[in-house]
Amino acid sequence: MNNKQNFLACFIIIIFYCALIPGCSGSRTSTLSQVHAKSIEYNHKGMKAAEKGDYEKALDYYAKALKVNQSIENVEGIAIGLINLSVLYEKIGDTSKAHDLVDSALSVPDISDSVKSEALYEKARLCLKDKEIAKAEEWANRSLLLNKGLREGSRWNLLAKAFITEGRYEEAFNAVSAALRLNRENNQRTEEANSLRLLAEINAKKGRFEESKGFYIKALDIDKELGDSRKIAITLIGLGELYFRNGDYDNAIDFYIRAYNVSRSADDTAGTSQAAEFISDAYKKSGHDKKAEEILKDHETKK
Amino acid sequence: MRETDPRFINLRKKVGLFFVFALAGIIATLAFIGIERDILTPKYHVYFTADKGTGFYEGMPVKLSGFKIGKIKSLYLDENARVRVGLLINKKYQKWIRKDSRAMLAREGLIGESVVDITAGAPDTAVLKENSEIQYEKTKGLENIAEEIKPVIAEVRNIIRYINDPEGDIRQALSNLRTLSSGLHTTKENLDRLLNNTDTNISNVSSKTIQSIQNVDALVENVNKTISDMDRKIMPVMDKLDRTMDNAEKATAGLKDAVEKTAPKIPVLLNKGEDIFDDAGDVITSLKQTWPIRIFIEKPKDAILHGDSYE
Repeated sequence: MNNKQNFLACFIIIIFYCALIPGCSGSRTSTLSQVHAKSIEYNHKGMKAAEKGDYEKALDYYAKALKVNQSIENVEGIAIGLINLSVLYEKIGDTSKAHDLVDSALSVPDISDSVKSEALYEKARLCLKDKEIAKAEEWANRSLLLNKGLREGSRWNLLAKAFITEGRYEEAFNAVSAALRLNRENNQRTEEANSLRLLAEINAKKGRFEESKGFYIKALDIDKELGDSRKIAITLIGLGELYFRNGDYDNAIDFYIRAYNVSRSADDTAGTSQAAEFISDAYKKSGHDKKAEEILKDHETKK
Repeated sequence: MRETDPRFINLRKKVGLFFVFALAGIIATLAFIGIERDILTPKYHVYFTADKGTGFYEGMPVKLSGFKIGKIKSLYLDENARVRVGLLINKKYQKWIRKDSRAMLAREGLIGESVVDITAGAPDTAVLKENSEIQYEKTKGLENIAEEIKPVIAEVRNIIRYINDPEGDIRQALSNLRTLSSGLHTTKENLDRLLNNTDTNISNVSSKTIQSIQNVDALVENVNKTISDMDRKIMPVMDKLDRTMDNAEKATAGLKDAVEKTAPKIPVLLNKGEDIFDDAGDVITSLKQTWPIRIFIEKPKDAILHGDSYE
């Protein structure tokens, strides 16, 4: 064997041996403790229950996850648990408790920026719900300072919504345009549909009927793709309002009826009542007072 | 020829060194595997003899208190056509395997693998030495238990058939008792009538006393006859009932015995099943940590429930 062959043999042996070492004796992946794994399991169960709309069960699971995380001083888990509970309390209408929980999440030390940003965003959402627009904008901006991740578009959407409430449509348009671009880039379909709905609202406020309708239709397509009945009903109501403002009561009634049927099939009692009131209003406006009363009566009996 | 390039000076030594390092690494790896697999652990042999070799195989794990302590090394038929089973056991466990230790064929859970289970001996008995014979205890499988229960079930079935047979003694006895009861009812009515007659015809006592006495005599005779008939018929029935009760008692005792033998095994089987699931969980956990599988498994983390910006 000549020198060249010797080198080749050595090279092959060493490469083989080098591959063997990390493969067989490489460091093990760090594993979660059983307790930590249990808290994550509760968290995921809570998420599934919340997605199904079973908020009572979700609260129970999130409370368990929080307890477990507190038992091992997992600060990140504690903050996430508090945020999740806050979102749930807001959904069931207890905004006061939701505020307390998100304040507690913000007071947890040493949490990551992404979690802190989510808590700030949740705080902004709650303020907007309470019609404290200036505070909502402040919290949303603080959230944007920290977060440049996948959820950035939702912050811009929230800001846009605050601007629309104040009648600052140009600023709202800029914010929602940024949100739409980010949500598309980050494949955040729910938030993308929200951006489209906000654009439809801005265009409706500016009297641009066709543009507004176009954005609503695009949002409706995404809502249907996601199978989100509540959002489908909201978009149909939006379309109904658009026609209503335009004086086209027949088309408005058609969209409201569609929203009513969607909410009814999804067992959304609040959505059904809201749609029934819109239908009744539209009938009244079109001079069908008797029909308007009948609709409300019929809805009451069906409840 | 003399090598002038400085990179190739002492090339032979360098190549040799590379080989030495690679070889040392391979040897170290093999030694590590050997230690991990107990190849280098000192061992000793013990034997037992079983009637049948069914269920045994070479390499079958030998366990003590659930821990693997060795394996079946050899299996062969001895001069009396019985199965001689040789066990190879780690020397470090020798202190627990004593004269009164017993080996038995056991199954880990209902669907688990078969193992040779060895019981620990009493501390005051001698430790089994190399090539000693360990006592073998035949375990009862589910088939044996089923075989034991079979005659009991047959007996119970016979008893039920015997009780239900319309021509059988019990049904006949019940029918006779019903007839007897209706006969007694008639007798009572006769007696009532007689007393009434006696009461109303008190003035004609003298003339009819003899007749009445005769009637009463006949009646008493009838009653006597009925009672002796009843006696004759009931006695064999009672005998049969006694025998039936004896059989039932034996059958119940057999069943109780069978249940007593089987019942303690159920929690053990359930525990073993649970152990197997735990082991499977451990295996999966270990697999998840193994290269290259670990590369593809994402570490679970807490999920945030995102609030909707539009709601």
